[in-house]
Amino acid sequence: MRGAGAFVCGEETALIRSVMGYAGEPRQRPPYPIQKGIEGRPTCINNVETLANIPVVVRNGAAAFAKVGLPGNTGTKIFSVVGKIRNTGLVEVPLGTTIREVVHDIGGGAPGKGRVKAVQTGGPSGGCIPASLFDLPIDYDSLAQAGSIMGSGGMIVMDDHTCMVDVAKYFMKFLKDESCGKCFTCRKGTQRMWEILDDVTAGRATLSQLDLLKELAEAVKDTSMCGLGQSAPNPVLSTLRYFRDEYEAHVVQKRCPAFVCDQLVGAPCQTACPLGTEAWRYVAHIARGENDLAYQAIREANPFPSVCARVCNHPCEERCRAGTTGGEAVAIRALKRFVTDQADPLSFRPKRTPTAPADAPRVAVVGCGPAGLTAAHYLSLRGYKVTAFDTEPEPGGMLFSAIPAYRLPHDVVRREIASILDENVSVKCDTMLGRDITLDGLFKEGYGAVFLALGAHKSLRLGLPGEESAGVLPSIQFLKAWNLRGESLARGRVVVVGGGNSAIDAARVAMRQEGVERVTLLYRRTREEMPAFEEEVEAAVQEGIALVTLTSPVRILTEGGRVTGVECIKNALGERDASGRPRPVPIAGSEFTVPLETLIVAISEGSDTDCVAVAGANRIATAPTGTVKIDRETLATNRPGVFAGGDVVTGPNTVVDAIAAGKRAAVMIDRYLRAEPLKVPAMPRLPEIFVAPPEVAEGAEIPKGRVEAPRLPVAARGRSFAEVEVSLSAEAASREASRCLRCDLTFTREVKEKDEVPELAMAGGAS
Amino acid sequence: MTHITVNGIPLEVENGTTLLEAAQFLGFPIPTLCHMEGLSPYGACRLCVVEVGEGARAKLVSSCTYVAEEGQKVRTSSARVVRARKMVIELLLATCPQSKQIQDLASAHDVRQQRFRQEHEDCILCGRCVRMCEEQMVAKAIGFAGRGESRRIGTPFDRRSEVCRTCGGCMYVCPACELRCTYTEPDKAICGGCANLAPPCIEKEKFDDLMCYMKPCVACEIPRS
Repeated sequence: MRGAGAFVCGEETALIRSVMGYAGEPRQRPPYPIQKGIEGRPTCINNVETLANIPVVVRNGAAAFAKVGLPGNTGTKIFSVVGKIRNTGLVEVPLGTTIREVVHDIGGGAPGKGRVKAVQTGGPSGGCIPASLFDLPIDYDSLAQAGSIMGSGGMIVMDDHTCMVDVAKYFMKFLKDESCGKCFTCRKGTQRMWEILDDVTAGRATLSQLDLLKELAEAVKDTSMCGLGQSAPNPVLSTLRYFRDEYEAHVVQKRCPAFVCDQLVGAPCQTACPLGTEAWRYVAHIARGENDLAYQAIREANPFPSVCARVCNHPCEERCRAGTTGGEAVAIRALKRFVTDQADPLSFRPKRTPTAPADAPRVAVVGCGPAGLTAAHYLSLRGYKVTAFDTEPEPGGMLFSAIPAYRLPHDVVRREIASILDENVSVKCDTMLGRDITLDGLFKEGYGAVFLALGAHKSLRLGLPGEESAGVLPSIQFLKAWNLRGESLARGRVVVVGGGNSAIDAARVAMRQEGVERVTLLYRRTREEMPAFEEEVEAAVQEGIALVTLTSPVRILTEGGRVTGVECIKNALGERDASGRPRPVPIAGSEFTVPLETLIVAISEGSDTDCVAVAGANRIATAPTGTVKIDRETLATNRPGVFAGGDVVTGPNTVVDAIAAGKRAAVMIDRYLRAEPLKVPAMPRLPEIFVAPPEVAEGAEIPKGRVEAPRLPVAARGRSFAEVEVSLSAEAASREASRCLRCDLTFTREVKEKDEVPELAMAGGAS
Repeated sequence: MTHITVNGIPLEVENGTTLLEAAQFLGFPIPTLCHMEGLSPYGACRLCVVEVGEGARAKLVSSCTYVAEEGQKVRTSSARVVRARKMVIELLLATCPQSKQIQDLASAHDVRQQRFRQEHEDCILCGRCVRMCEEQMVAKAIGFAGRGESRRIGTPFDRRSEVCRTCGGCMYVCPACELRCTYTEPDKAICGGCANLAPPCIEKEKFDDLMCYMKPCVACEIPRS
């Protein structure tokens, strides 16, 4: 028998009926229990937590009790803090304490690198409060205003691995089961809300269903008799109010930003990859020892596999379920490196799917970095003739000019570029947009479309006087001088300002140059907030680069036009800013001076788009930061036929994002030249190809722990530009690959069973 | 006596009068479904909601169960009430579209769309049958069981009831299956469900000795093979 512990008995009239021996079911108030309760007699019915306050009030007096908390909201409240938080448990705080204090000061924030994005107060029928409202004092009125309730004091903390639609669906599942069912709107309403939420999480919903969801939620809130029904829509209404973008990502882009909703995520590694690389597929092949098939899986999705195997920021690993479920992510990039090291890129013959009309005009690609070359490659596969222009004497863009050879050897880049240039693509180097060619000129010459992939080559400046002095170098200029021309610009004591990959690259290159005594890196926050890849920072420290954090330069000291030092100030971490990182706050009086011979400024790069921002009707629209403005979905600029992607649009960004932009540009330009609509409805990318998991002998040991890519010993690095990271052994690779949880099998099993049936039939027929 | 205003008209009513009774006294139409004269008010269908109170304190309550309070201001068809009522009807249509009473309600309130996934349930759990059985037939043979999605009407432990007199009163008052006896041939039936419906308290083969209040009677209208 069910009965005990029914959620609806939190409603006093339902509890009273239950006490009287009937099913817990609320009734209309008035009459209130204090007038008519159990057996129709006056009844005092209250929460234990509320009753527990009475002795305190009686013993110390009302005035003393009211001193705690806020006027109108006196006393304390006990919260059960759970979810994505370091310190879980019960905590009693005075009313009026802010949510931030409970979550960050008492709870210790999110565990790991997660960012708290919301809390749900009041249990299942409470509401979500986003991090932007964390300064809200916890009291009955403020919570109600924010769309939540105090309820029984539950506080569920959620971070960026929590999907808000899934949260609403989870609570709605509970509520539709716990609604007593008396009110038609509560019973059916919660079921229908769950149904729509289920459609959203499966990618079946439409935007008009979101409006219907809101309309329904409001009706249920308005027309239900008791607190359960009146508050049941809160999770839906509050998440719709504060996280509508997440709902729309599910509905329009068929994407679950938190990687929770199975039907949209598929295999997280594949979905996390901007290129949609089927990481699970090649990892599965490696585990089976099929390295050729593994290379094919990688190369089909990515024309620069050897480059990505070295410098990719591997978003696949961040989302790998082996890691997000408590263990360590599969070392996907190291596995890719293992496979690409054994394959010759020139041996791969990509599949050509000509879609270009016979009289298709040529396409111009401006900029031969990863974005531009990828676009040229995929346009060529579709049958277009492409001319790719570049300012430098050799194609490769940032792959050559910015990334040092100890991370990405030049011959690897050259081989890969050679493999993707074919008879359809002609490369014109030493050609600069704005100097040698113009957009108008290209169209006049008969080009049908232009893809702008200029990159971001302009180092941003500190904005301090003395920045023009000799010895002060923008990082891009410093790196280019070395990478392209072999010039060492650094000498003596070198200070690098910045915390991104470009700063680390500059520091590590400087460390390898003749005449450099020591290298110091200044960063304004702490190491934890550095945007550079953790393994790069680690390598820099190993190589003897001094990390000075919580420090900002305030003055450049010069003597006779040459830099001699930099005056710095110490910072403390303050409030979190829009990026979610704590803001550095200068500590007055903490100034100190660092003497130096070379100062490298690596705080970020901007795009140099003066060449396209020419006056007139054909001006390409740019943002104040200099980046080109585009439609995010179609990559189209304001000028018809001109598309843009890569760093010139995003500012300094990862290689894989640039390749993804190039890939998308090829699709869009193809559609544009065939006069097809550029926008098509999104589809989730789910695993399709079945790769049988390798047979595991009974009792065989399952490998635990992630394999780390072997690195050249520090002593062997010295001033050498030999590659630091080296390949995994075949044995280590297959061991690591077998740690994969094979998220793909959920989606491909059906296909497998279909495949197996005819096989069995044949076996039967033969016997 | 209690003094209230309904849609701005002052009214004096006896203590204990419900808002529905008061509004009906003045002639304001309020749609109902689970409400039935002769049965105690239950407040399950939420169709009869009206708006009481003012400003931020204004709320919707079911008029059939809410007893008038001194000085109360009642609005029977404010925009908020109409919006909520239309959603209730849309939900009813999504659940039980074959009911003539629900179809009539939709038509009377200009509900022209049903945006949810279509269901064809036999029962909207208004509880009329339960109250009929208990209050008028004094049998208490049927009642509610389960909660949430699994809430349903049945006899205790779903066994054949000893107290049920197979009077058919439950079916007589049912707003959802009103149509079940209108057509004699199942093929032509609007819902087609009549031949399949098992009345909650009786077994089909017992139709033979059924004494039924329904006009026409379930037993004589369903062709027997």
